[in-house]
Amino acid sequence: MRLPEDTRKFLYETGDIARFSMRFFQEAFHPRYEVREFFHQCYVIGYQSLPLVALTAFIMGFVLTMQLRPSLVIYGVESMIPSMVGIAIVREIGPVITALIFAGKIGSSIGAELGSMKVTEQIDAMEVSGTNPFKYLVVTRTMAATLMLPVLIILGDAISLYGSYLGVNIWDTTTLTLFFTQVFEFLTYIDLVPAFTKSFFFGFAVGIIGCYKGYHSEKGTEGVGSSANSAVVVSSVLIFVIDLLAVQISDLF
Amino acid sequence: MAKKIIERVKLGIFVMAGLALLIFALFKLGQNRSLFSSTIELKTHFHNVGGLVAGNNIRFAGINVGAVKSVKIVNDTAIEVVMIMDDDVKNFIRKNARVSLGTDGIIGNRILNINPEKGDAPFVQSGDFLISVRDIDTDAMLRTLDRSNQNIAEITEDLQVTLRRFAQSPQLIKLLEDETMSTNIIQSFANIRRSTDEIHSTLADMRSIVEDVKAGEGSVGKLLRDTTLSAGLNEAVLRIQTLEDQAEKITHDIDSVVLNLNAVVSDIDQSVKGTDGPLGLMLNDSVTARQLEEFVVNLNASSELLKVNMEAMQSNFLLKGYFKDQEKAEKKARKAAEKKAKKAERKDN
Repeated sequence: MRLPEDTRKFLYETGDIARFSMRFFQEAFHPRYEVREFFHQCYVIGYQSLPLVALTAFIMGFVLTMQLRPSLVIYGVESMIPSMVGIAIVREIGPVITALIFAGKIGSSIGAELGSMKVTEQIDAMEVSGTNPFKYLVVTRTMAATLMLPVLIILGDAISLYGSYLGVNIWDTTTLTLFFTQVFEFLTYIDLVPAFTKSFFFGFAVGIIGCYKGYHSEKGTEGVGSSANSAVVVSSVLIFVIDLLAVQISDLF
Repeated sequence: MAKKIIERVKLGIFVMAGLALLIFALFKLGQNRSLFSSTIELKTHFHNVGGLVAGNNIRFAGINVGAVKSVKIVNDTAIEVVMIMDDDVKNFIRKNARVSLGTDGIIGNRILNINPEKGDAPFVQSGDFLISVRDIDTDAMLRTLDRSNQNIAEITEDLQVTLRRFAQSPQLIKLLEDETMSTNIIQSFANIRRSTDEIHSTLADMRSIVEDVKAGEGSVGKLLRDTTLSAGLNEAVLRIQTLEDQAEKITHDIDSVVLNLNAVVSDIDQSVKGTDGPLGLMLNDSVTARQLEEFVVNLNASSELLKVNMEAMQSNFLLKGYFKDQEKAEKKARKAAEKKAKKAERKDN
């Protein structure tokens, strides 16, 4: 039975990504480790993404507060805004929005960077010079993305909540202490731990997809563009798929 | 190389900030769940936990002090609730404290309230069992409410009938519409008030009198309070007694006098009864008595004759004038007397 061309291509790519991930784990836990490059990638992926993440997170918290307020005022429970916004941001909006922004910035940059290296045959040259290109390029970037996204999400949550605090203060008056007391009043480990756990998977998805797309870029400038593009699209979709899985798993507890 | 170091420092700050926030968040949540501070465990039994689940808050006097650790069925009438509480509260919760089910707000989460009871008891220790208060059953409450509602409906109907009767009663309306009524009532009240004031002042007077008496002032007071007076009184009574004795003596004397008198009278009697002497003669002689009777009869007859003679003389013309004159003078005298009486009457008026 011959499957349609698109389906075959999709299944082939899925299997290839799985194999690529397997290779990542094989290479990642065996020496030698590219520590210096890893820290550099952490700096680029984590630290340099912070301004963008901070801006979007701040706006997200602020806007969410302003949007929730009218419907809560109808029920006379505007005092619940901090708790509601806190749960929304910590459980869902913080991780997903930050991961999407991260995918847009990091997924595309990794895809384009590795793609252009592939196109200009720098990867092949690396192999010839005795450096393991997979370790040097893929493992460092994917590890950095996996470890940095949770940090970004935590910082983004905090900035979001501060934005929400300012949003609450437009109509009502509250203190930062009261605001955070109310936020944590209804938060539990069940809210924080799954959100924090899934952010590692988001980071890994963004990193591994970016690397795969770049590593397997087709020849020519067009190939670089399409690999950067598809890295963002696939990693964004994967983020939602992982989110769906995460909510179902965390719902079991 | 310097650039690399700056890169590392920035990365370090970035990661540390993230970790610090994570630890802060976990600590904050830990405060809610009492996982990082030391805790004590208390137990209680309920008939019905009404939806209480593990993780619900526990409040002592309105402050969150812990959370429900587990809710499990022991048997068909008892559900065991294990409570995890801050270690600090064991210095405040006593063994006689009562656990009751509550709700956070009207539609909020279930909570457990621990309320202190009056009386002295030792403080709780980990693993202690607290007594629970049976929750107010909403169904039972509604049943009672239903009964109350029915009663109220009946009462309202009765009230309606009564009020209608009031509305249709002309006497009552007349009474209500009477304008003088209220002034009368006000006046009555004023009178009552005045009377009360008077009673009050009277009572005050009485009170002062009583106080005077108590203090021994005034004659009554003296009478009641003066000790010398009672001695005098004693003396008076003694004197009265001697007086009585004397009176008795006098009566005795009088008795003897009367006896003497009796003897005298009987002597006289005897002497009278004796035929000697004129008096005895007069009283005892029957012949004399008959003569006296005869004499009186004669006297009667002669006076009758005289009367006839006198009438004859009146009708006699010689003496007629004299009698007429006499009559006139008599009339005159009578008139003058009448006039005098009238004058006296007028003067009196």
